[in-house]
Amino acid sequence: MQKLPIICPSCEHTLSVSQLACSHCATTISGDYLLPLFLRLNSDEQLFVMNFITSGGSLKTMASTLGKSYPTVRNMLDDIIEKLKN
Amino acid sequence: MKQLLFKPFEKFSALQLIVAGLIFTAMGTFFAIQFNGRFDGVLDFHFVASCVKGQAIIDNAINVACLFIFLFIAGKLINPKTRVIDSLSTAIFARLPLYLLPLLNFNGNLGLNTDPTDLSALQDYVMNNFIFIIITAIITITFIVWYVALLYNGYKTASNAKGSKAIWLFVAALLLAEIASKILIYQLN
Repeated sequence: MQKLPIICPSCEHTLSVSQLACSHCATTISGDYLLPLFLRLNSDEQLFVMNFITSGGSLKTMASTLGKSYPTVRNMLDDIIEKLKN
Repeated sequence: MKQLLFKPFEKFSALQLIVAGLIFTAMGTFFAIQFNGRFDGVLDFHFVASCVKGQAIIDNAINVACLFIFLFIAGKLINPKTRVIDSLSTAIFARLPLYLLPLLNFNGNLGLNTDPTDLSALQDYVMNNFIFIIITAIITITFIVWYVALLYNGYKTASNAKGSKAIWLFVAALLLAEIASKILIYQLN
């Protein structure tokens, strides 16, 4: 499956959604919708958030699953929080 | 391999690093006694006429304590979430490269065999051991760079440090640790 582009390759601003389509009946909806907050993260960050949720929010469990140290995983989470705040 | 040598703090838990670091510290202390070296400061290693067991142990204890205190304070200033155990593991583990330096005196050739005030004898010593001294200097500089890189990476991982402020705080912490350790070693030891 193709990666969802979230950053404009021309000016590097966050992209918005201009069209949605139903693959079942071919209905299309046009407009200007903001990307949901979660989708504004890149694919690695989205994967990290998914791992965080599936591990029950335990950074210790995540650290052992990912083979990384606890402060490394915590730093990754802090960076994502910072990104979402901005 | 690069991660293992320079960024072990990203992979291993603080407890694993502390255990490994304590083993390295014991090894470094043993080498210092065997090969007549003294770790007389956070950034120092000198060969001496003789090093006794008590001195070597106290030297390393002071160095680790000073490094830990100042790196922890710097980390807390950058990120209040910095944990004690991560700064401690950095201070204990990162000294590994320094602990290997006493081995350079494997043949007893780097001790104070020459009177430092006797300039002609010193010149003869340098001329006769020129290549050995150059190789020793290159190895020493490489290991000190490795040591500082380990310290910085440990501090960075412990506090999620980024930007120039973090670098300046690291430099300040290292210099203050060096000054404090020098004073304590010469006062207590």
